[in-house]
Amino acid sequence: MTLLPKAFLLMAVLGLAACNNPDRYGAGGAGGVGGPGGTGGAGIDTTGLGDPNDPRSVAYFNQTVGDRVLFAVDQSNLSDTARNVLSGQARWMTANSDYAVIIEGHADEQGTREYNLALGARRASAVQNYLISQGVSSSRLRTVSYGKERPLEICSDEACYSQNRRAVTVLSIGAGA
Amino acid sequence: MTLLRILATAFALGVAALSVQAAPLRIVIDEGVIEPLPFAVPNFIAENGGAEQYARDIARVVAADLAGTGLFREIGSDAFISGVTSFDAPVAYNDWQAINAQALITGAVQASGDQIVVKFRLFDVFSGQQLGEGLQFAGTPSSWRRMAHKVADAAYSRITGEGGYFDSRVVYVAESGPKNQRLKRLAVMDYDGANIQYLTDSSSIVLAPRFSPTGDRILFTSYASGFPRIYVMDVGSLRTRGLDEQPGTMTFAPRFSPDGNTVVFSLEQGGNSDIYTLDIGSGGLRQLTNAPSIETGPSYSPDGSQIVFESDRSGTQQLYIMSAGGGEPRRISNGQGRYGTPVWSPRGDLIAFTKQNEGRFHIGVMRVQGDEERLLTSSFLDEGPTWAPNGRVIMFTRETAGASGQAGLYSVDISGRNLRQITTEGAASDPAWSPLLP
Amino acid sequence: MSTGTIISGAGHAGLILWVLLGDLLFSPQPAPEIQVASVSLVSASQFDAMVAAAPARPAPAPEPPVTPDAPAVVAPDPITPELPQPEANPEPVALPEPPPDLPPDVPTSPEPQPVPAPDPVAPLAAEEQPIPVPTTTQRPKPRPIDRVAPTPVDEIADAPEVAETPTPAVSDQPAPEAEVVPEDVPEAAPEEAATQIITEAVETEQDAPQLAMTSSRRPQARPEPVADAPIDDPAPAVAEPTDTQDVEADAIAAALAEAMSETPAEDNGVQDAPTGPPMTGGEIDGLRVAIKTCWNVGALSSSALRTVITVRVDLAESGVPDVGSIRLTGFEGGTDADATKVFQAARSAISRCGRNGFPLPPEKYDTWKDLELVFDPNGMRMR
Repeated sequence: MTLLPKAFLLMAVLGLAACNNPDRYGAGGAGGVGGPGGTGGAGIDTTGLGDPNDPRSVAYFNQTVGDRVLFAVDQSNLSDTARNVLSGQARWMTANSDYAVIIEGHADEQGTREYNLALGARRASAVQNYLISQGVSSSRLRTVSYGKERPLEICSDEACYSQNRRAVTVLSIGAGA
Repeated sequence: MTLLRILATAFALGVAALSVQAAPLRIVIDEGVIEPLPFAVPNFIAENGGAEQYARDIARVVAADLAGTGLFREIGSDAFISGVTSFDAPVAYNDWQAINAQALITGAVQASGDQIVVKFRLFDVFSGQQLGEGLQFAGTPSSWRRMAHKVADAAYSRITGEGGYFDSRVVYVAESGPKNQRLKRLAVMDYDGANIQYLTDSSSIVLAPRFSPTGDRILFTSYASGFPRIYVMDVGSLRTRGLDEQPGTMTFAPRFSPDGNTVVFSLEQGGNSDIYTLDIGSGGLRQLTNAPSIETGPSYSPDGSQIVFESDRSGTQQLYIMSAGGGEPRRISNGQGRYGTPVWSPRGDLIAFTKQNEGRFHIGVMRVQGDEERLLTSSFLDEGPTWAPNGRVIMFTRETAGASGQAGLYSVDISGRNLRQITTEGAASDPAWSPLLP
Repeated sequence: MSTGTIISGAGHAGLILWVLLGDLLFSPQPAPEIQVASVSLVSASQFDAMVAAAPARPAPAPEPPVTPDAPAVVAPDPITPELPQPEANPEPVALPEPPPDLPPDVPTSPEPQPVPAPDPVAPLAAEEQPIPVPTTTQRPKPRPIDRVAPTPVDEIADAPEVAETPTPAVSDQPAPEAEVVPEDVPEAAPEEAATQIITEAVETEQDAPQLAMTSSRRPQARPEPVADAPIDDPAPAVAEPTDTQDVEADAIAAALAEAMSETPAEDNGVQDAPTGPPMTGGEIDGLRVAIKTCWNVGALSSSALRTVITVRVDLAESGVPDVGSIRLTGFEGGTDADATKVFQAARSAISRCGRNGFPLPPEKYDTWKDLELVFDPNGMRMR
């Protein structure tokens, strides 16, 4: 590659590095337009995540590799399914090392607010520790807990609760914190 | 013959009675009734022009305060036999006795430009005498509700012996939007839902605000930085600053110590949450618990010597008490189910908590030793109790089930009676009661 | 002859008469089953029989309103309004037929929980006996009702209408003749009440702790024959005493009353004993019920509910308490402030329920003219 496209690419990368917005659930939060940190929390803005068929895209990560693992009630230990998913995540992250990672921990609404914050943090941390054990550099990883504040499914029975007890791995451009 | 025996005994007893020294007839009354005390608040007297509206409104607020406790029942003005035409006129006790008004509050208001003066008297109708002295308050016209609350507080405490709690504020989280996209912002209101004031916008999630002991500052948790962090806001100026910025950690569940100089909170690091204190002045940080379990929800005793908190070190959420400097905690909860969000009563005698058992949530109280546990409510989701300044009433959050479920604020007396909803503009959660305003 | 000898002689005479004539006139009668409610009727009818010659109750005198104090901030200046003094009450006039004397607050509905029929020859119990309450669903679950009272009262379809205010008292104007509550005013039925506070948590628990009444507050199944024997007929359960029994009872009563009435005339410096005949259990319970129905502890703090107070009050012959005489003579278990609050509620109870006079037998006035009431709210804590 010649110098100019390289420089151009480098500047584009640096420009987009500022779009790492961990609080993507804030209303009107300054999510980068078309960036992975989309506005609104109901769904991730898929424009800009790339073509799901491209194994290097975030869309591929989310849909094929799997960006979330689920937990049992009041538990933060990883099931075998979870471990498989996380191993896949770890491999992808190692292969695509220019992404920083935020692991979000969540809990269902069957608990008090502050305890659920702590429980979400435990779940995120469990995922983080496993990814580190699979070779992902810890400097790329951060955790945040949303407790029961951001449920995915809002019916009030186990079918929805089980989907809410999750840890979601969110990717963003930027070589680490 | 039975009859003879009876008669003989009767006679003997009769003779015995005569030789006994004189004594009054002694009767033990060990049962009574529990019912709302009927009272009457005739419209206050407007002692000059411009005070009529205040006179009516203040009387209505006083009546609503007392009736809202569930301990009093108002007798409406359509039942009055005679009215009150002048504040200093003698009370026609018989007229109030006839309608069974056991307590009577009379009052008068003077309004003049930038000041109103409110005075009142309280009467024990059936004993035919005044209860305590008359009192008078002066203030700006915009604080007329506070003066009405002060009148009601005086009447309430003279009759029940409890401290009042009507002249107080509640800080809470005003909510809007669907369950998976909730917008939250801080708000503060009078305890009865009036005078709502919003303190933040909805740009980031805010949780569980708490007042300082003097009511001048609010601690809360916010996601403004992208991560849960505790902040302190000055109520007057709304200036806010974050506390304890430590990278890679999460801080939440803050509460003030009774002297207002220390903040106790949970700090999470590497997935583990422990309890820390922060000296606001010096910034000194101190770790109080050190366990791989979740420790959160700390609350000081009124004398500042102990802290109650929740921990799942035993496998499930339970309540523990430790000394305010840290030290070996002792467990106080011992029923079936999970216990959380403990809050020490301002009277120091009880601890309120949230209990989960068999799919239901309850607000309950227990004594400091953990005994005499009583559940006051039961629903799909009740949590986060806060105490009224007199330690007799508890406010909490109740959320309904389902996709359209919403949160609201409710209050209940510690006897479990008088469960009622506080009217707010829209959904609301995480209430915290201020101390009684000076 | 000393007082004691006179009384002793009269007593002996009565005893001898009874022994001599008892077998001839009275045959042993089986004690019939008694409804609890009818015990009041029994004592009332006996009371009626005995009160035939007694003075009826005069109208209560209106009290002059107390002058209110000025507000604390302003310099206090006591105000003394000019009021016409109420006229003195005329002499009470004896009525040929006294009106029914049921205290209006006693519930007349049957108890909701099944109570075993009292044993006709049950021995007198020194303490209240526990009444077994079945734990089956037969017992109605207490509904959340605003009012908590010792005896649960369910909605009664055909009860007299619940009066929002108590039955209006006699007009305050001094009446030329003493007239008691007119008979066409419907008695106020007791308001709905439950035996315990129903909270949400209790409602939803299947095995909610049912606070069973462990003892009866009702008058005993039979008036104590011991106290009544000298005067009442020996079969007190019978509602209508026969004429012959009446004659005998009256004769004995007259003889004893004569003897008793001589006693107050002699003042030997020692305070008179309650020289009237001792109160029956039914009469004491009637007074207790009358007071406790007005004793509202709902507004008392938990520390006040731990305080036991002793109150003295003087009663007029009409049964109306002298409100000014109500005084606190002792307390224990709480602070001064707590005792004051309990006293306030007690004083209010005495003056409210005593406005029209307590249901007390006038001929025993000396027994009950000076009451010492012990108010113990401990049982009402967290009910």
